[in-house]
Amino acid sequence: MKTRILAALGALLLFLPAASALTLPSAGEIKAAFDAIDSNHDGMISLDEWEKASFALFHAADKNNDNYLDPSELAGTNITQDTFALADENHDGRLSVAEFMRLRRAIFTAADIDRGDSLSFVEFELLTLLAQTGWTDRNHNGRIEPSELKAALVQAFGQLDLDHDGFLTPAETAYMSAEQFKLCDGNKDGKLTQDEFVHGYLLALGAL
Amino acid sequence: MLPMKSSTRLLALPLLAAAATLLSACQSASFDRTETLALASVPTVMQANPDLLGGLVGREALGSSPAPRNLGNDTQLQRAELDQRAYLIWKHSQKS
Repeated sequence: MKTRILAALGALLLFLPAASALTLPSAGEIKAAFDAIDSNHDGMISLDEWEKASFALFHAADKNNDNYLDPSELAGTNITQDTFALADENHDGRLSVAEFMRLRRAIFTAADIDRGDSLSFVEFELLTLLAQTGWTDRNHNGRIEPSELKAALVQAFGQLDLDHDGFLTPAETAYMSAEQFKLCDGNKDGKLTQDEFVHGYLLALGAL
Repeated sequence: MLPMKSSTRLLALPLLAAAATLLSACQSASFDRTETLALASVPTVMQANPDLLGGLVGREALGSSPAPRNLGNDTQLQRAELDQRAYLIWKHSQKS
């Protein structure tokens, strides 16, 4: 009986997302990626810039140069496999340019939280975070609504707070820009409560 | 407006043509530079967002995207053809 319980717990742990499983890029890496896509350097990523970058990503991934992406040309994570199956509309086991671009536009639309038809730096930072911590599209409109964002940020806070002390330190938020950390840290004590974390992002997005 | 002498007109035409060629070359160079930057940026972008398919955001966005249900088949096909053509033009511009 004891062995069976331990085996069940072990199996459960295998499927639970571990907090340490987050492999978020550093703030510097996120900024560098943003600047690389923002080709006209106006501080915003337009849909056109996003699409051009998507072409470049497709081209770089299409190793056999057949204008299709097959599963072997993409990283083999579980998330990727799931999304691949959704994106592969005609179920031919590969992604055409059109299928890939539909997916990339869906990501852009979701990440454009303030509906400004472009991605600000804070929206891009959130996209990078939520790509790993998740978001639930409760009303199924393909957009991250403020209420959905709040729920997603609460969930992200739990995953970022590695020592479970109820605060996020700069080390636990290494992905976050210094400006955003400062904006979140309302009482200037150098660490973020869950309320400060959520409030700071909503403030940055003008969603308050 | 003063009438233009025929000799001046003869001189103006090649000048205009040269200016147009120069302008076109500048625009082309600018386009190529932007495209080259886009391709060169791939490793930098991949460093921050290694999942081309957008991780959990991509999965959720696509899973609930209303686009396929709302768009007619013809519109979808046209869009797909446009994407394919735009990509091939972009790809061609990388070689030149």
